[in-house]
Amino acid sequence: MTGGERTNADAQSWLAEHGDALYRYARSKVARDDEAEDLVQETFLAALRNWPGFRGDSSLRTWLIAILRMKILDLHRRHADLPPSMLSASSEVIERNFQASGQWKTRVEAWVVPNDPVEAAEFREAVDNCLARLPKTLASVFLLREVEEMTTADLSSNLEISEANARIRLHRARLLLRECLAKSWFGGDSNDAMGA
Amino acid sequence: MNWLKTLRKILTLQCVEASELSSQEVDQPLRVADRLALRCHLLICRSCKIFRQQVQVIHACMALPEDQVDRKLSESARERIAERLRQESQPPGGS
Repeated sequence: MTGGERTNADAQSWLAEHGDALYRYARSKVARDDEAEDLVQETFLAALRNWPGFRGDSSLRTWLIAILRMKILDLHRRHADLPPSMLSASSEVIERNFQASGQWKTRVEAWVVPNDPVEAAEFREAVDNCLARLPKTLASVFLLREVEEMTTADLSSNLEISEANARIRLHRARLLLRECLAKSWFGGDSNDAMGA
Repeated sequence: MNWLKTLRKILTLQCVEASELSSQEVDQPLRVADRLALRCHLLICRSCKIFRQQVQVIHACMALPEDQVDRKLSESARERIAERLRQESQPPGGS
């Protein structure tokens, strides 16, 4: 199955056979459903365009995943490159949580830590929901760190930001996630989680 | 001089800085002065201690295997992608 003429039938069979797997892979690496869907579409389109170059050295699935991985990194780079105003908007979380003196404005309440597989899966779903609501410029850095396991040095070189900037974004992302989870998971009030 | 700087950091660390160090701690080992300052701060600040635990819970949660969640393309997304692929794979000038 190496690259000859591309046909609609090929493309539709790729979608039927590999669409869900690509979507699951993409969804585990990005914060939102619509981003993962767009990445799957972009991957198939790139595969169609590059089909004559596919030599069959790897399986079709492996080739598609390799394309998808590049698309995912491109997306995170675009997010990290969003205007500085997006980042300064996220600085509100510092003002919301801390007094000018640097102390917490309100006491941080403890969570009941999920300790069985069902609770852990539900908690993960809550984290994913909160991630989808993070500013993109923070979510991308957080996901590259936590899912792709990039170091702050990797983040700096891949996203062309300083390591200090990467640490700031990770800190703000975690503060926002904590706020959101405190309301949506532990506080029982999901409507105003992460506020505006 | 270094021990003076470390002592000063331990004595003056604020919660906002402690929260930064708690975040940084899951990404890379802290420098000795930062680690000492954070440990001392946590002895006297319950909120920072809880925040640190929560950061670690979120970090551990992200390490869970993703295949626990059975996700599929939605029908609307599948149709949208199929249509886009139809357009793309039409020969140039084709109807």
